[in-house]
Amino acid sequence: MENSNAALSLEERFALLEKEHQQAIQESAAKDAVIAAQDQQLAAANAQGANALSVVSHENKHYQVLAGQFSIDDKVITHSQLKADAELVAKLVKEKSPLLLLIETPKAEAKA
Amino acid sequence: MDIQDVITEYGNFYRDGGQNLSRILTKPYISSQTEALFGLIPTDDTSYQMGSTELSSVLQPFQPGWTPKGQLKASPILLTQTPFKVDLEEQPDKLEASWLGFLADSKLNRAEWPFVRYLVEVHLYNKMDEEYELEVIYFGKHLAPTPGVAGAAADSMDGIRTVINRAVQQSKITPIVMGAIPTDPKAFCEYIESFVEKFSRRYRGRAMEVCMNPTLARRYAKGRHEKYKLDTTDAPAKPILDGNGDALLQVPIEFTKHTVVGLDSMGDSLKIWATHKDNRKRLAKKTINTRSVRIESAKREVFIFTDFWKGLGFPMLEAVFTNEQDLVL
Repeated sequence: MENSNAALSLEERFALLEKEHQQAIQESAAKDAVIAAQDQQLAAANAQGANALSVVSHENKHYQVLAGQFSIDDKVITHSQLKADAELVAKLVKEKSPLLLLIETPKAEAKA
Repeated sequence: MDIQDVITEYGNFYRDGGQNLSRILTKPYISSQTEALFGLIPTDDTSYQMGSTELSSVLQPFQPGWTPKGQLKASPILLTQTPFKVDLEEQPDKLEASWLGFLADSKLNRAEWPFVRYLVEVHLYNKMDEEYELEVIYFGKHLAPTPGVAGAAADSMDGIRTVINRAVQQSKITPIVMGAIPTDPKAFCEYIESFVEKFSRRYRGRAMEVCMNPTLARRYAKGRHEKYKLDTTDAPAKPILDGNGDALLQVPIEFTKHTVVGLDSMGDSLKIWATHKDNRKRLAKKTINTRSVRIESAKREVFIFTDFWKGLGFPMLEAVFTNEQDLVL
């Protein structure tokens, strides 16, 4: 990168650096938007009541658990038990269980 | 009031052609059915406080020494009600030069015109019932109104769905994970039978109405018939399946005391919920105002209004059973 840049003129190197700088700003803004959206969703979930907040992850996607606890196969599963049971999370995601609400990341907004 | 189509079609004049109320047709209103499932607590308290008590384990193996064991725990139960209102304003003079002119009158006080009585008795009370049934009692979620702007009916009160989902989020109701709702009637009948078998032992033996939307209730009825071939039985062989009337769609669940109930109020919601009769309570304040209105006239305008309070809840949330569907608040 250093060698290829050395062959460029001062203006060209400046333009390249400017472009990289703009890209970095855009990426940072996109990340900020994702964080802000997740903060908002988590805050909303938290505001809905004690013990309401629980988010589980599967294949890089995050899901809000809509029940404080639930009963499956005659066993009561709490948030902490669900978080520790990746197999059950995968099963619920695969079955598109209404217990889990996908936390959307605002990709369109981030690009804009 | 919008009578432009009538004026366009029949002209902007009134001629007595023998028309009367019998020639004015109205769509049937959906009656209020769900409310009847809830026992009434008439109270002026907007927040009704109750309590529940529970004694912990007391039995122990004998020993000569004094070893106390057992504690009574009391928990608060709070049911709330919220205010509703109707503000209706009309200019009945529009009727005079139209086919509907027989609803006008020569009296200067427009509040005494037949139109007002017709509007209140034929439409207003029925419309209030229908909106309460279809938009409020199940789907309602209370939202403080914006000053000066008429809010949506569903913003008036927390309905059954909101009460249950909030309790589910707070771990006060534990939804039973049943998986996707079967589209095949027989499989759905077995889904319901499996659902009621999962009720906690403490409440399983108490008769409960298992409430669901009417489409699912019909599916259950067909599935139950398919599974048990109940042509002759002590249960109603041909239950009323279409319910735009006073009768609820009710179908017994075999080998239990429970009954499937189809409620128009539940729309397309896939939630199924059940609890015993004593655990369904509704609050009401100024109930008489749901069937009476104040009618005022100022100059040539008529103003019709009323207000009252309503609310509902489940005192023992642990005795409410639901599946895992439709949980978003």
